[in-house]
Amino acid sequence: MNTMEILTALDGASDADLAAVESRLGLSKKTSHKFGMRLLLAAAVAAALLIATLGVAMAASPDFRDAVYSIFHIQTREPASEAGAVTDENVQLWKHLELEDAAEIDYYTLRIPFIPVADNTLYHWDENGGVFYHLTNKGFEEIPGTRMEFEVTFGGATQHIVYDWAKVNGQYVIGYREDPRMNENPYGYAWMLHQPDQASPDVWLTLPDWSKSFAPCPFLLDLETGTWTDVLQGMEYDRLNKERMYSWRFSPDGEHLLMMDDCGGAWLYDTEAHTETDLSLDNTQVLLDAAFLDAETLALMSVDNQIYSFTWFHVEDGTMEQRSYPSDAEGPGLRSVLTPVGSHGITLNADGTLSLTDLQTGIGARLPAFDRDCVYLLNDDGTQMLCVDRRLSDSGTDGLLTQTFTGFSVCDLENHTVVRLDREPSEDADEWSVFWLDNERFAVWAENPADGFGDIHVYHLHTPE
Amino acid sequence: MEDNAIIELYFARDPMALLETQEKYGPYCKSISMGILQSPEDAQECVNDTLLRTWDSIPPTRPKVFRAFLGRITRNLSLQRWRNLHAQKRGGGEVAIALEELGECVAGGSDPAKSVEENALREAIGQFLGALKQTDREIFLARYWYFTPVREIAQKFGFSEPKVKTSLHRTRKKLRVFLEQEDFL
Repeated sequence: MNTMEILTALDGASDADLAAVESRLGLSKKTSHKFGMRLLLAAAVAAALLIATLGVAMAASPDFRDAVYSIFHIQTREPASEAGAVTDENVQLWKHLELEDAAEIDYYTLRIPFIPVADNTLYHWDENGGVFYHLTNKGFEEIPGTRMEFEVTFGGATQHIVYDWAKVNGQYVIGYREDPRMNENPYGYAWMLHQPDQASPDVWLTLPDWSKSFAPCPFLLDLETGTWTDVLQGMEYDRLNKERMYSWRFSPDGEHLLMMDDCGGAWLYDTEAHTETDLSLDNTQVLLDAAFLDAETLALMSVDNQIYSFTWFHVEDGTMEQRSYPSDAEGPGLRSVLTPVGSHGITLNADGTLSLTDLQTGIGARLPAFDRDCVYLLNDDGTQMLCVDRRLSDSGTDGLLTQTFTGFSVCDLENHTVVRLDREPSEDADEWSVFWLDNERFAVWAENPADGFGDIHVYHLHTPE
Repeated sequence: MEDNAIIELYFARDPMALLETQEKYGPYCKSISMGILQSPEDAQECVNDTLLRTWDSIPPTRPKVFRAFLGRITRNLSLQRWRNLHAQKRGGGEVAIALEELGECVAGGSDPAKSVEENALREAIGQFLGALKQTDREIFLARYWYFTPVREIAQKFGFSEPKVKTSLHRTRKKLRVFLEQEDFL
């Protein structure tokens, strides 16, 4: 028997199964194209966990030595969907749980594919127009998107741009699906939208240059009108070559762009003065990441032989500050870095305790001790730290990992309290991410094992009076 | 036009049947063929062949689900064309990748030159698919019936790529065991 015979024998599939698959693939409507949906993760998803060793004497703080702990054990496994208040046919609230005075949990099941696109907003792509679902205190509110569609000819290719936008509480939210041409691009580059400031309709559209290196080149785009301009016109991309990977970072005010390659190269463009500053590192440093902390401050993170270095470049006057931290692999040092990179990190103290450290000043606020694999998420106003215990499983097959969150510890950095929520997720659960929705709510985005669509569990924390 | 009405045109030997079929299902059939052949010209030829094959089949056949009936014809014609086009070549396109992936199911277990009874295998595969979990079945069909790339399956189903790959890997392993138990290998 040969494999072609197996392919041919799949004729034995039932009509109902084929219809179900066609519905999933979007072949139910007449179409001659196949599209994909890009998974966009909000900027507030789980921070990258970096283990580094560096010995720094941390300023000891008594903050959490006498912390008040409240521990809740969510004993029941999150049950299968049951009848409950129906928020919407596409987003169903099926359980509400109250944990004394500490927190409330809302369990939502998503009946169609969604992706998180902003702190409080989910997005569903549809050929006829995308829809946003915004989480309010009363559940998810459906907000139709405005569809923008146009073609851009750049770099030897005509690229079809389609996106939806909406304005929610004064903030712009964007949703779109993956460029199908990405599969033809050897580096997997696709056109992308970048939104450094949600309050502004000005975003950045990066287009791969098919005529040269495929590297993405940035253009300023007005979300509402769909007009785009080449603000870097006149600057040359001589350094773009096919042997390297490139990425961009954008300042919140749109006046500065940072281009990085995968060999330590970094170039800062001023879009108004049309000047360029070379911030490339020396040969021993490996550039890991960069971020604009605000319109005036660009942070770069690099590593050299387990020493992590941070550089803060002030765009207005061109001055720099630098500070280095050893990895904590063999003693006190930097355990992990929070987003945006260059702002805060988790450091291991000489006495075995942990601190939330301001990386620029080196000053830390003590935290309870957590396991090495814990993931740390700081909310936007810096008042609460979410510490997530997770369990990784390789499912016994190809070593591919699934993830479940076995507990959340919410550290109130002002009141020095800790709320511990132990969980018992089901064994076959695959929880994709956890992220802050706002300063008082965080969410878990997980797979619903019944149908494979997502579940959103919203944890609403009660702040002490 | 409703499917039953189109089928009645075939039974009446009215050439309008072909026009109605082309208008309603032409793009659908072409999308299936494009997934296999990756060539608009070859795909259109397969769609045309599908119409002719359908004209020859109805009557006496009266399809229960006309859409699925057309889809199967298109897929088989496209696979035959692909096989002819790639007889001397290796690699290229989702079909080649799918064939490589399915190689796990037969590797070391059979003589590839030895053909099996088509109907028996088709029925067996149908039983195998029916025993799978719905999600695993749909992922498997999306990959090996529609030749959808793994990344696109992940996106359309709302899954991660590793999850899709794991599902396919598990199902292929189960298929191999099933084929061994049924003496196809």
